[in-house]
Amino acid sequence: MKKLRFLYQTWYTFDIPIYDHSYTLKIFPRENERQYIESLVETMSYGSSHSYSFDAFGNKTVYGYMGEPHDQFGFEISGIAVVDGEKKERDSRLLSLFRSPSSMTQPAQVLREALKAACDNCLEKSCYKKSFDKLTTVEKVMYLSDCCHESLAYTPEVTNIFTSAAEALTLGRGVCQDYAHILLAFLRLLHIPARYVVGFMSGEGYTHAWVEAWCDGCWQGVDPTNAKLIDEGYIKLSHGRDYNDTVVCKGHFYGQAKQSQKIRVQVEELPG
Amino acid sequence: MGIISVEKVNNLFWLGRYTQRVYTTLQRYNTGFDEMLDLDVHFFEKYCEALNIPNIYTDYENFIKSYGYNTDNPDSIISNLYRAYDNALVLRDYISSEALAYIHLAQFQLNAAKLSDAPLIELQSVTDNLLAFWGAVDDSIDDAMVRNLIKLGKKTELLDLKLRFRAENEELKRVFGQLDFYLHRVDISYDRVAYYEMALALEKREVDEKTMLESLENLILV
Amino acid sequence: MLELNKHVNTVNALLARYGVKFGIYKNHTFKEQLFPFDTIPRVITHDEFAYLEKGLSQRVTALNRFLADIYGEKRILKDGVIPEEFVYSSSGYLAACEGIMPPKGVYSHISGIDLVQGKDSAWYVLEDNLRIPSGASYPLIARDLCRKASPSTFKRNHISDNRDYAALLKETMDSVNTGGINVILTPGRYNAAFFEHSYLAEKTGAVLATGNDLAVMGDYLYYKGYGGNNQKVGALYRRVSDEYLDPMTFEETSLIGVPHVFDVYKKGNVALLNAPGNGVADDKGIYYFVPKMVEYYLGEEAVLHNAPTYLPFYEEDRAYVMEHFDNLVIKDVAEAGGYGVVFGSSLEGEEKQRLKDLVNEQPRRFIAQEVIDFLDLEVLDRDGVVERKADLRAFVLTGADQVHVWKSGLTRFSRIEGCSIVNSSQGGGFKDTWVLSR
Repeated sequence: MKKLRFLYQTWYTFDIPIYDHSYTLKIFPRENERQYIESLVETMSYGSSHSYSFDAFGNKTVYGYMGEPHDQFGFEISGIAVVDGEKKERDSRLLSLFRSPSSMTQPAQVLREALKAACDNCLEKSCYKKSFDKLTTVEKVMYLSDCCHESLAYTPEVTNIFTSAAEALTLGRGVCQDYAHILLAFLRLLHIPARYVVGFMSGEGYTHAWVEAWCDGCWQGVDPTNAKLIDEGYIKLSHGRDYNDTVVCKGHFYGQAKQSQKIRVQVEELPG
Repeated sequence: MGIISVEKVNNLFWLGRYTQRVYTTLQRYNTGFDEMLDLDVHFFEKYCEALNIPNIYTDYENFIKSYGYNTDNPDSIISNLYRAYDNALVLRDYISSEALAYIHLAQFQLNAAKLSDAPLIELQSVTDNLLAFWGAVDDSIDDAMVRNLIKLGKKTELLDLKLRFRAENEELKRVFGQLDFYLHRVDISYDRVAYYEMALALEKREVDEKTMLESLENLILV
Repeated sequence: MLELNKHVNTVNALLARYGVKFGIYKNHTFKEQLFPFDTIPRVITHDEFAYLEKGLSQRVTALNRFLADIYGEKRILKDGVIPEEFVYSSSGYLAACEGIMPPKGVYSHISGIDLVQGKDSAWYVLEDNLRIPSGASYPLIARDLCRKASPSTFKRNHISDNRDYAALLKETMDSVNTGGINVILTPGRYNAAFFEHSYLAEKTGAVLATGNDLAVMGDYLYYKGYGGNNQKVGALYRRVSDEYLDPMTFEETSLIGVPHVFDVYKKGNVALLNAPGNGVADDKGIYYFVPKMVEYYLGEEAVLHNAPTYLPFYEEDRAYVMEHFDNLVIKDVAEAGGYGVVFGSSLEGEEKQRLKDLVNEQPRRFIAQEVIDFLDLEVLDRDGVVERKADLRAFVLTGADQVHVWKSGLTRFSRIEGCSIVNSSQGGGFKDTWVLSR
């Protein structure tokens, strides 16, 4: 078990004021079998009216409306999370949905071919020295995560939030979001329920994305970007079918403003 | 109904203005049509100058056609009737289908006048339908705010046109009095400085049309 | 000959007087067109309507149960009655609706069921429309005007009055209203059905609003009155499609929706008519399964039949489709508006092969139906009475406590001989639908 202190700040500035601004934020760490939130402080430029809600996947949101012109908008979340790596989430709701392709993980030909090659090469390539169909579900997930890791060269700013799994794989480069989408596409082609996760990882200055796969009655987290199973250094914020379900900050406003964004993420381990 | 949104307030006010604009300019147009038959072929030049609209007309026949019925001419009567229609159409639930129908009919008649050898006959129907529209508005709308917003628009437009056509001070004062009446029966904000400037100028009989028109344009903030 | 037919010009002039039009975009410019009306009504006998009424209310009840199940327990998938890929690959399925129970449990408040009658005089359901089906206002106002134009026709024949539609609609809104006013949300006057939006607002006493007139503040939806005089909305009959309804949940660039309306709907603080996510039940692929839904949820045999349909998704059906391609009509489930419909016999050589290949490659994307021999209806043409293809959109209103089949409907006909595409956007006209009261 680990105790992690986390801090997450995002600050937007607009060069000219915006107005009629509606926003939805998904920034609250989830509470589940493996993750307990001991304390939480939220500081926000909410505006005149705001409220809380949950989306279809159980992610908590805060939403609101700022009618008056403003040129800044931001939030800060900090607190302490207790993560127990021995425990697993067992929520079996929506498994059939997580087994189906989503908009960013459509099973294009390039994905089918890459998956087939990975399965065919399993015996010689994998550390298990077995053919793919002999692997347990967890082993399949880990092996495919490794394949996915090798299929991309980590390169920021060559892909964007609209890049699909197939596009990233074709490009051969990308960031955590792209690794996660490709692994999701693989697992769903094999009818293994899998979901996209957004959260923090200790030592990383940004939000991170990884995958959870349904393995023998519980969710197993795996990080294809770093080719490892997730450990007690990961704090989960939200999950969904793909990136689109987990967008941290959604906004809708009027005004021809250019926006700039500052993000800060800190995660540090506390003693005992 | 009780509650009107900002956009609907705007639509009601402009519905009043455009129907009045069509009605009043149509009276002038009828007079002009008659005069230009054989009395004064230059009528339209003075008319454009008074209204302060560009004189784009090559001769009186061109004026009759283009100012009357050309939908591409933003100053034409038909363009203003279509603007009235645009505002009326989104107000069906406030003004009723019965009242809205008279705007449709006015449109059909104006289009019929375009093809007629004796357009004043069809144009009389346009006038009739506008009067019927106002009657229907008065009769069928329970909500005083809705009625008064349309009337405020009408009186604003009427004062505007009277100023342009250089009406006597007494007549201007009378129309301003009507405007004033409706202005204080609708719960909307208006420019008080502009209001007092207009009232004062009329009282002192020192109306400068240009200044007055500016104040009038600034008066209602919807 | 019907006395009413002598007055066809009078009726059409009255329709113009009241602005009974639909909007259409041609070459990127907006035009309003009159919807041509034919005075020869479709007549449904009392007994025939009793049969349709039973079948329609059964069908819509099952569809509502299906929607509650899909966004809830998903029993029908677990029991293998419908393959899950048909649900999750449907563009009408909205994951955001998972776990939401709409006010009073009603998903499809206003359902438009498209039927045709075959030459064997049997009725077939062609399509269910559970998103925001339009069209009821046309026969509603046409009836009123026909009665004016030819009173004797209505004195002599025994025709159920259909002018209760607005009252039924108001009742439906009231029955699910969570506290507040009724509002009809329109995309604006440049929408094809704006006449209907404004007419129904007038007749039901609901407020007609665009997205700009509404705002979510905290946990409720408000109509923004002038000078900060806001009023809570309890039922929103939104004539804006799901994808544009709420930019914060669906299409982010939408300017015709209301940000966060979905959040307050989810909290049970406003009723949305119809509920978002209904598209999963009126998907052309799901259509095949509707009679099975009736059996599954209601334990009854479906009264109304589908047109004989094949799903290339099933191997056996695919083989049949390939073999009988020329006798079938192939429908692309991804498209609407009558464009994605191809008669197998209308294609030749390479073109036909291309479609066959596409069906083989993406079997889930298509359905194939036997071509029904329509019973043609008489239409008054310039040259006299001619026969034209027609369908019937029946309207079923579902409120908190009852399912009501409107004793009328929109009969649309093609103005082109032999053509079976009746959409108004393709130049079709409409008729009144008389249900005889005895």
